[in-house]
Amino acid sequence: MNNSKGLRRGTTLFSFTNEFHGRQYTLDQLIAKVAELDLGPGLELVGFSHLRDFPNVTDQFAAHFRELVQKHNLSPSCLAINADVFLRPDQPMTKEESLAYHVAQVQAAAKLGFAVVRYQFLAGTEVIKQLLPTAERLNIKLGLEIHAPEKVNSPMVLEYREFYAKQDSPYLGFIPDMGSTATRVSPAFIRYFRDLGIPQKLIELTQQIWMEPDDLNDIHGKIPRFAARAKAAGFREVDVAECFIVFGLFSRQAPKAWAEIVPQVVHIHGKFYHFDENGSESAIPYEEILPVFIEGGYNGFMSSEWEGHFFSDDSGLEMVKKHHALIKRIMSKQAVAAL
Amino acid sequence: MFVTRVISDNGLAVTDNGVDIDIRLPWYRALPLSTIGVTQVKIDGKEIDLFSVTFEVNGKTYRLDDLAKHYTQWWYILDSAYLHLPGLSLVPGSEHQVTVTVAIRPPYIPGFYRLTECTKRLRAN
Repeated sequence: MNNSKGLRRGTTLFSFTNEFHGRQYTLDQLIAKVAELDLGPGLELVGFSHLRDFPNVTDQFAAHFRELVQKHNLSPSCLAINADVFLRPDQPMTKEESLAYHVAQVQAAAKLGFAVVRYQFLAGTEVIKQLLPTAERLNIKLGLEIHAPEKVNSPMVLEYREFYAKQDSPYLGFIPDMGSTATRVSPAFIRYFRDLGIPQKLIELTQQIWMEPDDLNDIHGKIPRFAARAKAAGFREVDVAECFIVFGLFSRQAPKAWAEIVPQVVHIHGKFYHFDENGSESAIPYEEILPVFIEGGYNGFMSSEWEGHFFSDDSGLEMVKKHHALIKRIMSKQAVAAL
Repeated sequence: MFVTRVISDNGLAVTDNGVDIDIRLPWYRALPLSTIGVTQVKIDGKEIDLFSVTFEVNGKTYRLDDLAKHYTQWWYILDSAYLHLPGLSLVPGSEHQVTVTVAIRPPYIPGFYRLTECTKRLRAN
């Protein structure tokens, strides 16, 4: 098997939220760091994070960005776009408004030279169907992010899979987020909750409900179930709300589940939180996950995506270096096994 | 992490008609003002009446209970916003314990609501 065009490493600047939000590094400096630390060649940005006034992109900025990635030998792999349907919390966008909102973001991606956009469930299949001609014309693949708590076979994803089967377009694909193949609540969050002074009993309740099997017909049911139990037990609202985050960031699923959709995968979010003493991710089994994509013939980038800004002031740059070391270790073993 | 950056270091200033607190958006991406709330402000443990507090971003000032209307105005992640607390008088150079809680409802995650509470000891400038 020739893996030279297979799974390629990359980074999303989302990993450096501490550095960027903390005003320690500018966008240009972070892009330079990705190249300098060999964390590319794939480079992913989040439109509404890294680009002021997104989705408006000036000609001047687009020229500057294209020059910058070329200078650093990086490849603009994916631009994360958003389905901000609830800009007005009490009045969701119409389909027409949502389509226009998505078109503008896909145009921004094309202007900046990205190959793929990450889109979100809330777009809906009708809007994506109408967005498809724009994507085809601009040569941008539309990748639906499969993010916790959704799974390969949850009803929402199945609806998109059926829709994709009908459209049969190479411009429609998936972006699996590795957070939806976690095995437990990351120890990084446990430590963070303890440091915040959240009661141990509430942390245990969070872990207990997180570990319960997901009900495919009520995939978002854990948060209300947890909230009701925590409220009944009399915990502080701000503490309970803090714990919600674990139900939305990662969830349980067997790594092999991804195999069914590998041919439709256009990009991967290599989500991670924390490493154990062996350099393995403490709650996301990359040693089992990566072979599923490699053996399935995946051809594209995986952005290393550290979400540590929720619980840590550590450097995202250092964490992504560790994640790339883990990926390289797994890939070299995989290459030997394929000989 | 966001929880330590809601209130900016050195973010307490005495003004002509009260006190300003420099705050940051506790999220990784820009959000429209319609999805943002300030649910608690305390100085030295004393709750400030939020009815009197105003919120300034991008050079414009809003009443807190008006933020919900402004879905085309954005708070970018690198920018400070300022809470104006009128009628409060602090001695320049004095130290105070400041608490601010910011609530967000990211417009792409229906039903998700996040409160980030930050407390810092700051010297009034």
